[in-house]
Amino acid sequence: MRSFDDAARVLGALERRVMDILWELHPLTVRDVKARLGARSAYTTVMTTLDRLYKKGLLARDKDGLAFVYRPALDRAEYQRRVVEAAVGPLLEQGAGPVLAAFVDVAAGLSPQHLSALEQLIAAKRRRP
Amino acid sequence: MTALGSAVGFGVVFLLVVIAASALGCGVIAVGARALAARGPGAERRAAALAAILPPIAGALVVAALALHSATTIDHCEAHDHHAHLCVAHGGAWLARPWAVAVAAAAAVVMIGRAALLAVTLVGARARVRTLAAAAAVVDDVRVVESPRRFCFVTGVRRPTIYASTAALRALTDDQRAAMLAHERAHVAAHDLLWRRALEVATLIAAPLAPGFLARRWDDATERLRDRDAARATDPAAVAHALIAMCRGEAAWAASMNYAPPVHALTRRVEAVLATPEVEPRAGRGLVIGASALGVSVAAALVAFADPIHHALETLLG
Repeated sequence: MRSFDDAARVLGALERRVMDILWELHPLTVRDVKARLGARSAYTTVMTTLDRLYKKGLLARDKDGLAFVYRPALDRAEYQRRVVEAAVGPLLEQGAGPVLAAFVDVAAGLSPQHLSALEQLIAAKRRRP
Repeated sequence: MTALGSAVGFGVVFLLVVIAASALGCGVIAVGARALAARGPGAERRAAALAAILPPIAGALVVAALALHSATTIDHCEAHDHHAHLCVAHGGAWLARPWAVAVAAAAAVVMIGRAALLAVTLVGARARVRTLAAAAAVVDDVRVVESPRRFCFVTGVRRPTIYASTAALRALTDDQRAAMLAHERAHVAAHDLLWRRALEVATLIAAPLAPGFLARRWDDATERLRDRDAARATDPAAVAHALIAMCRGEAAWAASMNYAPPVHALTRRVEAVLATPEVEPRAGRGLVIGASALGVSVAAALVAFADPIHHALETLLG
């Protein structure tokens, strides 16, 4: 598998960096995340980004005194699985078309009985070459 | 205003020719479906492509002939003033005919709408494919994506790429996997997605229901054609078994979507692949020759009868 950095394109660049930081180390406060991001990120920007990720369901948070501490709501592997499923579902449901040519169309899903009948057809063909 | 009026007049003629030719093409394909099927998927695919591509060519030919005639016949427009003229210099009267303006505007809206829908589909799909590409492992010419769904497809026009899920690769035997990938490689070698995109663009203006009808016919025939290519490269039974194995996995997803699939599509593919001839007949060449002959005849008729055709269309529409 390639780096997860490339896989998480559904997130913005800053969101991805924040998720990477929290996957490496958690729980963290806004100030902790800002410190790891470097001087270029404003405190309010980091706070807004964390809040957005929380609302997207990617982060969980707990109150620690006056501040929130954040941790990932799902691990990298689970997130990646969801990203792939979200991408592949609409693609496959489009079926054949200008975008892709699928080996089988999702619309071709048939009943087990019908598929067994087709297996028998192949077997019969093999018996009578 | 004259130029706009001329555009409306010629636009109406173009539209009528394209819709009539497109409807005729679809009708011929529907009526001759059995005969085309007997000639194989190559003939079916070529017929669908011709029915998509020839109507706009015919429309453009007729408009070019009319425009050329009006430009070369000096006193054409002075000869009669009882109707609007299909003329590059005196076409302003078309703007005074609300029906003509409405028809031309509606056609433009439909064409722009279809183009926009296609663009949105392509942009959305490109983003999803980028996501898959980033999450995929490259194994030879295949990008393998970790997923519980069974899928294998080729996507991309400039650089067609094969994507396969780990579930699909695990579900198949070595022979079936080779057959499935041979099918997708045949799509890549034949630039099928490029041709499919061209078909989509050619039918931006077509008879109602024609774009979907022709696209389905082309897709179905292309899949059977690539099944046969894969059968020749590997083994017909392996291709057929791979199709069934892949459908077994996807059946659960289709059921979860409460979708009742067309029963005949897979049956037709399995039957076609089991009947793969050693060499694909050059079926469909006759169609191209016939269509070319028809095109030359129409062009010749347009030149020979330019004057009466021009006046007849003006009298009928103007």
